[in-house]
Amino acid sequence: MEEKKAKTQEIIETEIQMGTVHPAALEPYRVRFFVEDEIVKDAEVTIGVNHRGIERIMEGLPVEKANILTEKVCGICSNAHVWNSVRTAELGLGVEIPERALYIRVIMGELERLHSHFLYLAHGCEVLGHETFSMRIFYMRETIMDLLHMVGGNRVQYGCSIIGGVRPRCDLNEAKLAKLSESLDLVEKNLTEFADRFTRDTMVISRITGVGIIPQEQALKLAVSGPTLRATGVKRDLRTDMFEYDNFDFDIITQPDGDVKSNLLMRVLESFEAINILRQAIKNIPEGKVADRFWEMVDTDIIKSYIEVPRGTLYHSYAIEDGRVRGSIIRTPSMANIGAMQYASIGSHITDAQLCIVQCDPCFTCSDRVMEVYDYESHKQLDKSMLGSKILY
Amino acid sequence: MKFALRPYHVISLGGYIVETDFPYRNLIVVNKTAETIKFEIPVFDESWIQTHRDLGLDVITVSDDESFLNKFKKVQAELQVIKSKAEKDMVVK
Repeated sequence: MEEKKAKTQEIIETEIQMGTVHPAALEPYRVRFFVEDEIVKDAEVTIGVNHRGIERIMEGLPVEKANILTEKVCGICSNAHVWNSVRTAELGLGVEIPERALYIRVIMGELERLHSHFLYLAHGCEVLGHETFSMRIFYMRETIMDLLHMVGGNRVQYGCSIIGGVRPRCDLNEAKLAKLSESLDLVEKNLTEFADRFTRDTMVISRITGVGIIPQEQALKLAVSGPTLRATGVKRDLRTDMFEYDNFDFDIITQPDGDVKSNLLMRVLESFEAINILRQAIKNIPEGKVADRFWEMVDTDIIKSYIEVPRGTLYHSYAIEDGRVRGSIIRTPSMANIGAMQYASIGSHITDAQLCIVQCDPCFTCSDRVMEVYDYESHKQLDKSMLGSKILY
Repeated sequence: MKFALRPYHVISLGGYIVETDFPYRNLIVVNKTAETIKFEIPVFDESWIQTHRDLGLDVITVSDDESFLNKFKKVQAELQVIKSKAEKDMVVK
């Protein structure tokens, strides 16, 4: 009888692809993993199917209309877009914004940061396979969504900022401030309990430690910004250079390792810092009007404005000609972060690849954009040794 | 990371440029072919332009003092002619 022999096994590279449209993906994109022996050897992320050409649509629109349109760039950081677009016009026109309006903008910005970070954490836990944690965070996030609804009148698009300040309907009376304060106490309590439970869970921690590492040098090379950069140990936060945050005392949170654990903890700790800023805003919000309507529309050269949004640095730039937008450019932080996630997934186990994608907080709807930061005086690109320098507005 | 540019389609790359020593404010990229072309983003330096021209893409640079809209509309009009001709050829075949 002939002896049976197993065939010689060869390890071959397999391509695993997902998208462009896939039920597991929150947004349309295509990802290709080239896997060998269950290890991702190469990865390719393709975007572009979601390109809406918002900058092109903005061309020639009256500035006020264009500002409103920018809110449609993203459903998560919609307030940040309209804030920065309005800020661009204000910088060019030399509009002075009432102090109370600046405080309300900061309140909206930090509430948005909380809801974005909570969404990130919930999504991360879902990918980890821990649905209980995921639902727990979504429950906490609902309190923040209620607050955003209370201030902005909507859950997603608030239309809060206008040239010269904020819309009068977004003004905060005593009852709203009390509700804010009360809700933040609840969120802080729930978040503390969650953080305690999360960090003590040995199964979760072992699953996320040392996975999808982005080295600091690589993050800087890819021009990564925001919490994803700070999770690699770089102490860079544009809020330290924004005049809106001049009256606020807060820490720049960093994490050392650049892995999934660092990224998740980064968002938890930043959420506590956001609550701290919100408390200061509620306590010290000045009296007065919320908008200055007496500004003059003039032609301007190209204006540039950079702000720190939940996912990193957001850049808006345009010139004003006859009250209309010319040469608009919007650069959202997700682009660099998507480059980082492609890098993070290489060398990881295929089962961790999805986690590597999620850890960089991608937002494909934002059409993923990138920026570099320059020192104002030397015109040199900022690196680690120059952190905290002045930013070119 | 790759960006998929559809057939007979034009986009501006302003939001996909890293501002490190890059001399132009914006780039207009045109796909005049009947195939989707994938190209690399972000744009880190000037060599990107030639590399992608070699791929068959038309890359038009826009400086700070140039009108983006004029260039964009001109390109769009040219593209429309090519597209119409291609559609006509398809019908004839």
